[in-house]
Amino acid sequence: MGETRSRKIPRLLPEADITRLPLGPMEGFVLSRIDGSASLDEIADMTGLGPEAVSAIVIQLVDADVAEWVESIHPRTARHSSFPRMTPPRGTLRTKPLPPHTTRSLYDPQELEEADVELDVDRRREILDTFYRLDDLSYYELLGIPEDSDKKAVRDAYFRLSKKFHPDTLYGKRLGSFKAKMEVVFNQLTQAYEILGKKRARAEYDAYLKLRKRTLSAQKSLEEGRREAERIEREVARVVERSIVAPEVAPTAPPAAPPPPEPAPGRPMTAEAKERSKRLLAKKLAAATGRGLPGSSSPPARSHPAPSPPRAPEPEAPADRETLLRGLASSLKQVAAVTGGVDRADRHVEDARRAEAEGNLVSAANSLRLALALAPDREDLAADYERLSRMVAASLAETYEKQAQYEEQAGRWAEAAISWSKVCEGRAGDGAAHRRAAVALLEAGGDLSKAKVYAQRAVDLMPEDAKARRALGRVFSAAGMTLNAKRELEKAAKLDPGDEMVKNLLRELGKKK
Amino acid sequence: MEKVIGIDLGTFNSCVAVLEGGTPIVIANRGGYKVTPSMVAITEAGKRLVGHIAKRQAVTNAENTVYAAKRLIGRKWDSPQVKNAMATAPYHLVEGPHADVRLKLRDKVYSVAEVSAMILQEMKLIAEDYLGHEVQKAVVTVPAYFNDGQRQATKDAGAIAGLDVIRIINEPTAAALAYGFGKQIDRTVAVYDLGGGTFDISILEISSTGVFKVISTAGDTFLGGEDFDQRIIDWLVQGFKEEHGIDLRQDRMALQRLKDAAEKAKCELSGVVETEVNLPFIISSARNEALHLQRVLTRRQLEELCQDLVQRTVQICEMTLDEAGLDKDEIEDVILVGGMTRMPKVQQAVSDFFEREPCKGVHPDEVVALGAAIQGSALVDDTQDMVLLDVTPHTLGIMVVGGYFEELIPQNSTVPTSRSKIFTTVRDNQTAVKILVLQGESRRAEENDLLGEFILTGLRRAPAGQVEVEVTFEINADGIVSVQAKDLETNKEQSITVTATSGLTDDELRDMVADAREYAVARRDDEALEKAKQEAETLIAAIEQLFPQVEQVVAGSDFGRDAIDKARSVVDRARDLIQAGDATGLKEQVEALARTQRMFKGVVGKV
Repeated sequence: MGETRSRKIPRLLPEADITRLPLGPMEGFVLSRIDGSASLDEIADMTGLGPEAVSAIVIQLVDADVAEWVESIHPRTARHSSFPRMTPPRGTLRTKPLPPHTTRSLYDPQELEEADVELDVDRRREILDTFYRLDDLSYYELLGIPEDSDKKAVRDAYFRLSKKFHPDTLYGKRLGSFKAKMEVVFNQLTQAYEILGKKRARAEYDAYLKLRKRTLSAQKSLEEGRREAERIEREVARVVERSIVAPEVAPTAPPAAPPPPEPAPGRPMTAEAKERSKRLLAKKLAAATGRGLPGSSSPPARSHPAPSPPRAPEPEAPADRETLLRGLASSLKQVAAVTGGVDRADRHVEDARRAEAEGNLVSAANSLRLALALAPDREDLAADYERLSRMVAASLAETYEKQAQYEEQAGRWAEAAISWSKVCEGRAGDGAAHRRAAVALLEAGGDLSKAKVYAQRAVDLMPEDAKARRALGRVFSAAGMTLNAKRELEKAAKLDPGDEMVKNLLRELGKKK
Repeated sequence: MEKVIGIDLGTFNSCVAVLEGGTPIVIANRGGYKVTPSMVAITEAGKRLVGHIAKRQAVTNAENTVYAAKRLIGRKWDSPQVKNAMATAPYHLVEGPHADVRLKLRDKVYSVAEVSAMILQEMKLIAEDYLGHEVQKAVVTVPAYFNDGQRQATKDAGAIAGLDVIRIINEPTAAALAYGFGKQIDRTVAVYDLGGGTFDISILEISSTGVFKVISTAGDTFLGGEDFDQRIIDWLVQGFKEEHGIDLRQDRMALQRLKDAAEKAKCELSGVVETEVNLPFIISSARNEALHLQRVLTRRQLEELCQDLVQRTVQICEMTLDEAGLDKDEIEDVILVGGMTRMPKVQQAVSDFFEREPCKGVHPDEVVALGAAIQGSALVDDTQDMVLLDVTPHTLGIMVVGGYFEELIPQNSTVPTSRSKIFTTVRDNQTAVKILVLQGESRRAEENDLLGEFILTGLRRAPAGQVEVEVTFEINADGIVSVQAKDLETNKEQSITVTATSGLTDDELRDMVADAREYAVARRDDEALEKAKQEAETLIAAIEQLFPQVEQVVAGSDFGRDAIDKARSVVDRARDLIQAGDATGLKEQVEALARTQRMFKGVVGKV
């Protein structure tokens, strides 16, 4: 059993709430060692607990839905990809949230049962499935065609689907609420056809889709990088915390000669075992970010359990274990302090440099973020990270700007508002972008206080710009702050006496009094 | 399965068809004719006559014989068409209670829908005679450019005739259905439909899978064969006046004879190059001697008389292609519909414009009814694997502050469709908004047709511009327009389904528009418009600057003057659009401005 079993790697489910579990310290300890890269064997070594015990605890955790098994092919190498991934593709055992198939939760199945409708259930399902997914489907997905389809394929798909969704195809049938849904779907199909069937409109749409994909993937990758960094930070914090938990023990014992064992049940921490656990921890920390330790400093040690006879420890002597943990923690801290942290931070910095040189700013920023997580006190890194973040935001801003323009044209103000706010993130000095963010928020009926911040900033940046004043005026007016609105609009009118909208707004405000 | 008949209710002739064993056929009337004149008469004895028999007695009973009622259907009393009909038609028109038009025949007053119903009833009878059983359902065709009111009135006529009009479809669309039915072709076609009273042009995509999609349609409801007749009548009247000093228009009987003769001459000239108009004893002179009208009309003369009419149809074709975003060479076939397309000059103009010979395979008088029958069968018969994707021929929208028309559903939108826009209040503490539902292409609200109106009340008291109302227009597959307004804050809503003809006079409409200002809404301010405005203004300034130079350069050349005039009109139009706050129009105009600027720069640069 041991061999095959011990290679299995457990991993925590990110959304699992550990605090609610009735865990003892032993389980807690094991839990803290589970990182998605250490195998049972390695955890056993690191914790000094027997493989059976570790395995039993992990199984318990899996059963409690806080952990799952990772396939052992789990890609350490794949993690070298420029976008660090927090959670590797999961293939298994996910019993928890997030409905696996979107269709199931799209609508109340009762809708399928609507009475007095002359439609068979497949047709009903087809209509409902399409109707409720309309907002999420790109025009290509809606028409069910690849993005490189030619005009004829677009047309054929539209015609084929028209015969399914045009209500005339079911003329005279009792359709109940399905008729209106068919009309909505058909309307959207027509829009898809009209955009994709015309060269210019399609080019614009394609460009928009591309932008959206790009910003989405950049956003996602940044998000993943952030999560990864936070995880490392937690990890580091935990190590540090452990060393604090056992302050009296650690300092008294000289690093070279750890406190002589209060022999843990049948398993004294021999010097050798400790050396091994140090290495393992270092490795583990490294693995957390997808790096092995450089071969020279410490070989990926997976030697055999070695001299000490692996015996089941188990809950016989809590006090002993306590001591053991303390000892271990202190040594871990030293390991981290002496080797791991710094080295790995440097490696991330290297990665960042390389990625930046290659022009992959997102990846560079992510790597620096990781480095910073490992070495939080390095101000040079912090400054560099700041710089890179700004560059990322600036380069994304350009993309978002185009995206926002398309969204504006399509009248999708809520989306435009988000895109403009992203533009502002990248271009703190761009007054026009701030103004448009404010206007888009106004149009979208969005958060007026946010709109005010943007408009105010726009005015600060461009005090002589009538439009910025006007935007601010409109925000004030929308928020019912008449006096402020009037003040800004009057300034706007001074700056641009020909602006009809301002005149109108002022007239309306004037009437109000 | 129930039979659905297809009726082409034409201005001058009507035609009925049905699908028999999967094949559409036209049904001949008792006289053996496949088309029946759209004429109704009331005899001295009070008997109603419809069709050929009405036409035969028209000369002797001109005042009680109605023709071309289609030109009056759904129109308002003081519209120019009605005024024109009053001047030229031998029958009497009177004003109806809703400012609509009524016809007075032998002391009895009929609505236009009633007269149309008599014709529809006749067509129903013809079909029943042939089929041997009663018919209840029909698809009736109307000119593509008919507005909602005219369509509704046509539907009403069907109901009066005891027919359930299950669908109104456009004449050129019907023609395309008949053309493509059962052919398994993939083709983009143009239908050129010049009938007795109206001109329509439609572009359609026909797919071998049985889908017929209208891409765009346009037309002129005041342009048709009758206008050609009128030119001949004018010419005859003018000549007679020069010869005898008598205006034949004063005599209703003479006028009816002139009409017949003009139509006959026009038809003859499609086959021969000259014909004689011979109307003996047309009128008596002041000295009571009988005068005769006798003149020779050549095909060449006729073509000259009607040159501008033909030209106008070509212009509309051009516009429609533009609208469809298609080039001429993308049109794979041209279908000619309507009696007027027999005129050689018309055929010539069409083939010149489309650069291809029109299709000869369809019968211009019958094809529309056939298409209507096909659509009728496609609707009720599940085994018919065919669907027609039609468009709305007119823009639908509402009135916004300043009396402007704000578009919601643009013309040539495929139906069913729905669109929403958000509007805001324009006055402080405005607690109600009035939604005027309009149809038409004018930027000015009052120049469009009013389809209906309703008021959304109970809005929150708030400063102007703060309360938002979402207006949604919907056209369902049956062509029924419904409009909904929703207070976005409270989700309170009001809606109407546009059904009846409004029957309002233009004055009333103007008053209503004025009234509605109190309750007006404004389009939410629009960044797109701002951008277009700016671009347009920059370009206009640049063009204005170049004007003097360009004028100098091109002085003396006709071509150059044309170009300058054109540039002026481009600039003027852009200014109008800026004034009107029309974002969509302005965006398009910006391109025209950019072209003009490039052209100007090119001209100046060459020197």
